[in-house]
Amino acid sequence: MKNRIEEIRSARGIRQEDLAKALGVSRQTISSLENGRYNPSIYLAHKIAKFFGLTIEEVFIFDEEGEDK
Amino acid sequence: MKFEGKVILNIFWVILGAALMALSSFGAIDAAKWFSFGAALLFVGVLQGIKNIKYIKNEKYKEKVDTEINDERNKFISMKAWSWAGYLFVIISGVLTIVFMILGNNQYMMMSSYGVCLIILLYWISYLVLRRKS
Repeated sequence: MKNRIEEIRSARGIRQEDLAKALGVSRQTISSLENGRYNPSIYLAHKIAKFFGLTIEEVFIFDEEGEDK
Repeated sequence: MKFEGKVILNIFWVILGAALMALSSFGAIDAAKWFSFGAALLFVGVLQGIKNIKYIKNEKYKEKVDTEINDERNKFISMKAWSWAGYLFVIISGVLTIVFMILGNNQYMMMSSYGVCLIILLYWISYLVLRRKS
């Protein structure tokens, strides 16, 4: 699953550390999410979308090829 | 486990370690066997105690530990590591069983094959329990 976390975060001038703190996760988790190495749970995806004031669909792009990852 | 539970367990290790060391020093139990075991328990207990005090007093450290514990990626990695460990254990035990069978060492062959059987049994029990829960 692809996502726009890095794009949205950079556009708003938010540091990875600050986003991690706001979401209650480690900075490494944010980095892994941005690099597409880790797919978040629906709970974390919801928290991320809510933090940016967007919907889950606006932040995460469902990719059928990566479904088995 | 909650923090209070960890503290109680930690105190238990310290008391048990000190008791084993004392009993082995007075000759009540075999010193060769139990003194070092008691010392190890005491050491782990004290070390964990220092970490617990730091957790209570240092707000920044507490936040770091809490994030590490609650971080969902960390939990995922931990579960995956256990899964890999299980697979590796089965593979290594399986290979060892064959090696010991070829070498004609029946005792070790049986031990390693029992290891494979045990972990497969535990897997199925866990699977059935989790299937009911989920």
